[in-house]
Amino acid sequence: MGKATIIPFGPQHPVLPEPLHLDLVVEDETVIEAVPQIGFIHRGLEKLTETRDYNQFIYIAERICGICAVGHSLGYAETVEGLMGLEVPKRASYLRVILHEMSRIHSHMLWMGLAADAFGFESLFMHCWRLRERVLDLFEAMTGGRVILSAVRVGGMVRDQDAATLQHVQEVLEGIKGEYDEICRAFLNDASVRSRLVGVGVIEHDDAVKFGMVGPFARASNVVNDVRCKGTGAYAELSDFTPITSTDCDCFARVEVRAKEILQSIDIIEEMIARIPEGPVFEKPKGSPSDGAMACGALEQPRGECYYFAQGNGTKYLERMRMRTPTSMNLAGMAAALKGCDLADVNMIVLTIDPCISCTER
Amino acid sequence: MSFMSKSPWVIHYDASSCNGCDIEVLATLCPGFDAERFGVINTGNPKHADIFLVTGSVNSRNIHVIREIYNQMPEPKAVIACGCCACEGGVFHDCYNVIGGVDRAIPVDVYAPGCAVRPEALIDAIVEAEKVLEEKYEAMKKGEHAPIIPLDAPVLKKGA
Amino acid sequence: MTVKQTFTDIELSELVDLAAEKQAAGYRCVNTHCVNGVDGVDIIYTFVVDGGDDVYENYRVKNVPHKSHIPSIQGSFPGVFPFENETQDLYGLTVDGMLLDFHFNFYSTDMSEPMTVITPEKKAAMEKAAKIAKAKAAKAAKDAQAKAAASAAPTMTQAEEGEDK
Repeated sequence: MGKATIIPFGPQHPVLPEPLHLDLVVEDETVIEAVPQIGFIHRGLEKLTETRDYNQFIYIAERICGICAVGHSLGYAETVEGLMGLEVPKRASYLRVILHEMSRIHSHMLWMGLAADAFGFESLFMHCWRLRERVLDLFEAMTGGRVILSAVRVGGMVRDQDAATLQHVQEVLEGIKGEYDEICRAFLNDASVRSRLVGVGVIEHDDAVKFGMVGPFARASNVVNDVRCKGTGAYAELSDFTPITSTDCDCFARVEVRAKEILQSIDIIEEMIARIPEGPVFEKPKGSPSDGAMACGALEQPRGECYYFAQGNGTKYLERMRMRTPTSMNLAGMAAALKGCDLADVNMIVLTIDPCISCTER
Repeated sequence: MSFMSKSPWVIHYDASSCNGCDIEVLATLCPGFDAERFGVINTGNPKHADIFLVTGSVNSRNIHVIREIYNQMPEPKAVIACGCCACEGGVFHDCYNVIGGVDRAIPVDVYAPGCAVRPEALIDAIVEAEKVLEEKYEAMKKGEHAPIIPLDAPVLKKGA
Repeated sequence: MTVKQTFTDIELSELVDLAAEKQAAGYRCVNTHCVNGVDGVDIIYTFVVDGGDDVYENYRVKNVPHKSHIPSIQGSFPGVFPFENETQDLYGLTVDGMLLDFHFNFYSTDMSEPMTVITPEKKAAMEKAAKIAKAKAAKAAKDAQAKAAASAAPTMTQAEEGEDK
């Protein structure tokens, strides 16, 4: 029986794109307990509602996180529209869903590349990011930005997309599918990859429910929880939608769920493009949120359910804007998954929750 | 051009960035923009690195980490502030937990603006930093050395 | 179009029992957060049950005095430790009975209780809004008075018209 040592992990670590500090209590090579410490990215931006009005705050909201930028601008806009009772034109809702699902594709591909890097398969990391560049080129063609798009505003969209652009989006995404299948085969069928992922970082279904986990992290433990089933915005018009789940509860299941979600997103985008109605894409909001009015909203971001709350005070500055991001809900699950694992697997397990610490800390 | 500026290795740290600039730093090193063909490798060890890429603004929690990494890098070393938040604080400059850009913690050699900074701008910044490395190497031969910034030193003046 | 939602006000004493009841009924705690006000801090807890009627139920505890103590719901929902530690750090309320307590050191901000600080801009905005509301109320009272006076007068002219006829 060895004695316990505390090994600090982070905030600067080659595998972590973001600063997260973990104090790992280790006995020999097994982790007994992991205490997360965050606070490196806390900027305190929720207080900026006092100096930026509800139209300007969307630029702050989308810079909470560069990977989930579209999601945050969309969730913020939907919540403020709910607060003020605004109806968004239908074409704008469809365009929002198309951009958000493309954001899901780019985010999952980014994550799969980082996961491959974490278990040492660097060329697979390069292939994932090479494919992801095609999606970023589409973003650039549609909105002018690769990462921070600024395409959504309160009341609709900033600009419309013509039929030729949407046709191009469809062609590129269809073209990705062939190469993407090869990458999936490397992740899901390769014996060396499976040996790093199967049976690692197991969280059983009951624990997943107890910790209130969300997103693909929870769906891999067979917790069926996906805001797209609750039908907000244009998601209500999808012909059918079943969340992808797995019963294996380990790191391999989380990779599998995200890999299949990319294909599901491509199908959703194709359906939206086929059925998108004509019409305006912006309805100018009039007035300000009334004093004491409250509204909440939720959105299924790539990492899970994101909850928004807005309260008005009669002026054009919101009284309070709250964004509860999925990773904050998954931190308890991550600490639980790290108990009893090997020290060498810590990178992999921390990455499988798809941590977005800048979202958590705002 | 001496050997000092060929194939510089970079170390990347996210100070309090939203991640937009970080994924663009990684995209610069991946196929697509491929800075690796110039010999640029992303290392995790400060003692192997020539160029320090910092994204995001500085707050009282990460100022020590940034200084720690900077002090451990061997000379000659160059610092690139990637993105508007690292240059001056960006859109968050008036938040209660933001002190300012990276130049409040350590001396910065190249500023690469953008929100998020584009990979083309980063490659340009790395080429500028190579020139800075040359100059610092010449200065090192004459006996001038980069300062060691104590971890608890006061915040540097803007534009230092 | 956002999700279905309800807002209900509750007392602080009902909080822990409400959390236990929701947990037993299979609800998931989505979020807890605070809103700073002049008289105190409002705390809002949100619960939802997936696969049911998908309604986000928001419960608000109004006007908890600044710097007071509130009970933790980590006994029923251990996953909310980030939000309760955030309540401590940013709003200055002490949360009793947490399973994972960072003792005011979760974010380590430069300013203590930053969300309770009322900045000069916010103060000016609040005073302006109060002034506008006062002026509006005064105008409404004046209009009501004028309307009451006007409605008293026509009865005389109608009577006069009747006499003329």
